[in-house]
Amino acid sequence: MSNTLELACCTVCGGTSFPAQVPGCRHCGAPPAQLRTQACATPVHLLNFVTVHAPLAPGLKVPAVIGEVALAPGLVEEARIDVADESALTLGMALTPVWQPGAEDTAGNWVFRPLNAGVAA
Amino acid sequence: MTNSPSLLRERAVYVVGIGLHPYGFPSETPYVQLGLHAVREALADAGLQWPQVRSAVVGTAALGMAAGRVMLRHLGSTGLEVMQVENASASGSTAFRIACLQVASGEHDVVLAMGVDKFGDGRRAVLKDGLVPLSPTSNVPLVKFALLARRCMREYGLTLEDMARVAVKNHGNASRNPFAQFRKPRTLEQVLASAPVAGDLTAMQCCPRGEGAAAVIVVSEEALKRLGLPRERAVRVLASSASSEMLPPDDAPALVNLVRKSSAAALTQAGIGAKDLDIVELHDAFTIEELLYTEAVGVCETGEGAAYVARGDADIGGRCAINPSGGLIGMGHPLGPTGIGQVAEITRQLRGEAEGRQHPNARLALAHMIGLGSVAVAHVLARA
Repeated sequence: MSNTLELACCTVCGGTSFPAQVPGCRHCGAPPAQLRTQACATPVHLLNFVTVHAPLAPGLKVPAVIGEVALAPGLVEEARIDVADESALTLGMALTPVWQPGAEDTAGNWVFRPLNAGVAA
Repeated sequence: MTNSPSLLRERAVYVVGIGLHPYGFPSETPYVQLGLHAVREALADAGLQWPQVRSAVVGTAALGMAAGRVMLRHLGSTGLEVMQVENASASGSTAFRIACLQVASGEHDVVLAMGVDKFGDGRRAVLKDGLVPLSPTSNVPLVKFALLARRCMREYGLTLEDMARVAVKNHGNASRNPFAQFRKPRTLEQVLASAPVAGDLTAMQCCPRGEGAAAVIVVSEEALKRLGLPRERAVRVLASSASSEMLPPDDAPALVNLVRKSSAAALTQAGIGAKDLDIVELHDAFTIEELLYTEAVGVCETGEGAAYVARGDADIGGRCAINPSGGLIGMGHPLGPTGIGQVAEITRQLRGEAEGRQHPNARLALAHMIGLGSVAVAHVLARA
């Protein structure tokens, strides 16, 4: 996994898809040969957020703050927001993606932190 | 499969038999017993024998290969066509749609549509697509709807109480439905005080996991006459539509657009308007969905969903009863059976046989289901 958050940009319609490895443009269906990988422009902006209280997905430690972030125009994805609780967040705030390597037998994952926030231990 | 605006108008299709195994929490009961119970009840309700059924369409999301044949052989090997359908939460609705189209096309004149499922064995293809999502919750519907609820609260002034009232209504309806998984009425205070799950949604605002079975039998006009079935207990299927999501051109949630489009297609096919509906059974896996879909169907205006519930317009006895069965929140959502269970409830209501929860003078109804947040199946039914 690259340590740069990457998107797929369609050379046919100009739309963006996530992740970069998608087998077709989600907007027009163009095949992978017509998609080019590009780095996600950062910071991204926080559109919405909630706290998840129940362990609804494998690997999700709760409570967890899940947000919606705009990775590109027209491309909104759910993302883990790496804050202690919702009080640290405001709508529209700038977030930066941070790659968290996994432990020995677990995959890493992306989290998003408020810009200029300290790196969590 | 495309929508078929003319088939159901040209060749009438009727629901003549319904059967249910009560929905419940996961148990050791084999699915075969759940399913056979529902099918036998539907046969008895219709006054038909198993050899008279020429095709069976089985909706299931979690049971695995050939669940229908493994179950139905215990009714006798009559040589009928057997098909299994999986379409996530809309599996049963899709099975019903195929059964109706089989009859409308003239392929068969007596067809069983049934759904059966047990929680726990399902495997989700979205987890095998080879793509790593940004969040482990990306494919968890509950989180998606918790985010949508928060957005509606912020942008449209929706309140916690607005959403909780849906759960109060549906748990209340379910308490009067002997086939429902939850049988206790709940107060607003109880709903709001139940365990928080995600965002502003509490446990009582979410559908349970469970199991169950539902079955209906559909026949042609010719079969209705030939078999001497009572017309006064037959319910006509006026329309069937199915579609999948499109990326919306604006900021509106894609799923709300999908519900709007699919229900409009069914209503147009039926030749009626949303305001003509007496009953709607819809996909209220989470309370926010019922509010948004009631508006999207057109039963009330956009932005009026919460007021519609608060005024009692969505109650049994109100302007249009929404989820008189108790819906997914109260009756339950065992997946495969859910869409068939909607049709069974509507049939019972249109016949005037929904003892203890009868909506008065019910003539027209819509059954609407969503599957994995991306496919929709809608049916309009009418008293024959």
